[in-house]
Amino acid sequence: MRMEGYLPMLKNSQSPILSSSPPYEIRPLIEAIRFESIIEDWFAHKSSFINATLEGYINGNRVNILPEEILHTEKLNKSFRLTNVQLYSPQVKKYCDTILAQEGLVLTANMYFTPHQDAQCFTWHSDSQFSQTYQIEGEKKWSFLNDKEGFVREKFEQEKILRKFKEHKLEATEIEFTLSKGSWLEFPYCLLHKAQNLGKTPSIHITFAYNMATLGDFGKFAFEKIMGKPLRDNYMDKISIEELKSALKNFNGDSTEFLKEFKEHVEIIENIKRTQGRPYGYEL
Amino acid sequence: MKDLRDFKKQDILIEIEALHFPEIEAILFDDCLKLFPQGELKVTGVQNQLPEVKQFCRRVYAETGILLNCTLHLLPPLDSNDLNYRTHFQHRFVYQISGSSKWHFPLIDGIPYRESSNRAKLVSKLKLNDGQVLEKVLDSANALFIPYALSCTVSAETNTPCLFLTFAEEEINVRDILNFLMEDFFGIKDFEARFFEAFDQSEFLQQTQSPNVEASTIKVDDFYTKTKMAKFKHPQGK
Repeated sequence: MRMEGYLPMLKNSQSPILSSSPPYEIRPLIEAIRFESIIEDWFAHKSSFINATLEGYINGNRVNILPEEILHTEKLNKSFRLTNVQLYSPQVKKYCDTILAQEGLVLTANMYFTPHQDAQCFTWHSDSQFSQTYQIEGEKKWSFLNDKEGFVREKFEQEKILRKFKEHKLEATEIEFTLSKGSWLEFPYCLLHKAQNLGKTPSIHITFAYNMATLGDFGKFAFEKIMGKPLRDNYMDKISIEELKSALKNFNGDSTEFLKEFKEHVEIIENIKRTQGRPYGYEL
Repeated sequence: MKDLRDFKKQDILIEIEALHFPEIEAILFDDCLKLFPQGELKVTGVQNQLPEVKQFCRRVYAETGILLNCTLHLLPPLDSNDLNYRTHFQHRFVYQISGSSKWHFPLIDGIPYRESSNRAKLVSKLKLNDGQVLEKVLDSANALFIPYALSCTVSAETNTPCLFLTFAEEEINVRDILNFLMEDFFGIKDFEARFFEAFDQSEFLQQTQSPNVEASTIKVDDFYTKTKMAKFKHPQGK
């Protein structure tokens, strides 16, 4: 199976793209994914993968959930998420392995179950990866923020932007995309979004995250190497100019070696994600 | 007046009761009220509107090199105690003009919670609201120094109109340094706009030139001055 020309389009996209079905090239692999088998596979392998976690939610807030509860979803009153499904589900793994072989890209996958309309799947946030979503069962409404410059992407001050929006101080409107069974949605890095079940029946979707190295990742790597301190979303921390001067004095200026180290860093991280899954909240 | 630089160095919450701010003390309540547009409870850029504040900010800049942006706040009498904590990524200094305000600082392990974007993810807002709170009541003519990134909320303490000024100094942060390193050091133009751009690492390796450490070091002071001035003109908290 060849998928040439498919992923470059995704890389250059600035907006969500909704389709009634997955692209032709990958449709058989995606449509083979079944909710019930993922649940069974998770039960069979949950102790083998530290990052293959089960997390319960009610209206976006984390709540306790017992593994047994997800066997009887007809009685379940909370949403849940299974992370790193690619580690134990043969159907999902097949798709991820194919993309790795064809495109050299490492994918991670999470599955989301939302029992009914009142149990919001997740509230406003943005992710640091390109995402593809396939609606396995039911319906789900995805909302994105759109302002005069297009869809709102935010990395540095997500909370501030969202607070402004909630206080009606951000000139942005919600653009909604409704996914029904079999729908396929793609969206790029860091678009602010939320998702909600639309109906009374459970809504189930799976999201694939593409962990591609970006200029931002290079920036973070360079910052850590030069400044000698970690950079994990703490963009607003104050920092003295003397610290910068001292760090620059100590830098030897060999960019070839430096860039080689970055390439190795990406390979190490991708290998961790491929074999152990993507730890929650971990970026490249 | 004690130097604001001392407060910044101490980097903790400081009540300032006995200090003398001659310019600010001369501000009249009625002059402040006139600044509020209809229905608004906040006025920004007060240093450009009240001569006394302008004089104070100029003196502070001349004596310490600190650029202050001033905002005037009016809280409705006995405002409901809204515990939506907010974080200002600035050093702030509050001066109470009339009435009393109560400042609430959530405590984590007995210490006022200081937010970085990173820690914000680890400590849920629920935990902040359920935990212990440090309260400071600010009466008329009293002042409070709130260090960078300390989370807090404020409510009116009396039935008289609660009017106070906040003076904020913008700081250089990790984001600014990251931009400097990428744009001036590695020559990646429009770095923030291209932050999410996926790229071919091998191609990038071949194209990127060695950074000029000496030239970049010389640029640091220029970067500092320009960034501070840009932030003063376009404050973060606005």
